[in-house]
Amino acid sequence: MQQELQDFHHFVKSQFSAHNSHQYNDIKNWSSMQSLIVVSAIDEQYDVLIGHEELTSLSDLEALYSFIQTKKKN
Amino acid sequence: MAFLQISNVKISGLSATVPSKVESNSDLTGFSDEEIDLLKKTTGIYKRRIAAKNQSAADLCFESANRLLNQQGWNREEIEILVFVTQTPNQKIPGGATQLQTRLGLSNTCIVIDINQGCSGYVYGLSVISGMISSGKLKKGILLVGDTITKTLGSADKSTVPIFSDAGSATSLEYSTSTTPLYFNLESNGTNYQAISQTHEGALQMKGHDVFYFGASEVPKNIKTLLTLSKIDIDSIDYFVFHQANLLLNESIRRKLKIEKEKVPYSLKEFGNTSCATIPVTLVNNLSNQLKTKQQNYILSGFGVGLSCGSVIINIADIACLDIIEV
Repeated sequence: MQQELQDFHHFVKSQFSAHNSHQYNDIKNWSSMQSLIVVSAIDEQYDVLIGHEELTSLSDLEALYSFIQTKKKN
Repeated sequence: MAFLQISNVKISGLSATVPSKVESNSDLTGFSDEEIDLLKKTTGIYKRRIAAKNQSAADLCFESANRLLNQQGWNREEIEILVFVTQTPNQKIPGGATQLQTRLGLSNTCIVIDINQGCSGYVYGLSVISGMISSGKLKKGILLVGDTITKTLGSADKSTVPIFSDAGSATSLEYSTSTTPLYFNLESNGTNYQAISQTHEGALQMKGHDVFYFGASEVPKNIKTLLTLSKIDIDSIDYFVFHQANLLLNESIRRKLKIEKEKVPYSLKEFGNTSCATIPVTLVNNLSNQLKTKQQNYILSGFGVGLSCGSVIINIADIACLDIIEV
């Protein structure tokens, strides 16, 4: 689980440019465009499509990762 | 679900018109260089066409239709139906269809219809005009689809200004018993109608994430259902011409449908998101030679404002297709 979460961190961070990669774990501060880039990448990688309200209810990547796992099970 | 099979209709000609004024996303103000690079990469949009103050959607459609009818040598008295699809009419009352009827020199017995529809407007308009021509009582018709959506944008709105662009189009159609049917799958979901909407002050606002969610979840399903109900194999489709929303969303749809990149043309880079006109603009800009010389199967799919989604399977062969017109 810990390794999977670390991999997820790397995966999300890779969706950010070097310029703004420091923001990658702070979902609430993602720009609207950055959110779409991450949501699109998650949809492609995990086959889970995340809505706006779902995303903004999450605070960090651990919560996002848990949300994806739960949605996949359902 | 609205699955329609419409027979005995063929597209005879196609044209598209854009304003000559070009704006580049490289020149956007209020964006950092990094934001502009990210914007281009994500949306796929580099340039946009902006209508002049005195240039309307009806003007762009008129130019398309007038030149197309001249090229085809059609007797304008023989055109029995005109459908005009726009969200940006010159005035609300009356709609622009009757003015276009007069400007184009069509007869007083011609049926004229206005439709207020956005990103899915080309497919919805095609379904309406095809359905009426299919009866055999109307032999020739013209579908005009266009918007000057940039007139509705707030000048500082970062979510709409870099995306939207202006264009008009004309599609001529004929009654013909020697064509394969058109298959439509049209859907709407008004629960989130405000995802793309005009404020009371008149500015267009867009909730990008909601639009992405709708497009990525509903469009692939819509197209898969269309293929299933029409009993047509996806591999027999030569081109998938999607509404040019933005690269991120369109590529998501393409991947979900497992379509090769070569079958999905884009006009986003050069023309941006021209609202209801993106499908004819892309057909004319990217596939003109194929349309003029080959018989091929197309899926055209529009999605967005409403929220709504409409797709059609259509066989197009040997049509009159003008080069993109600039005015």
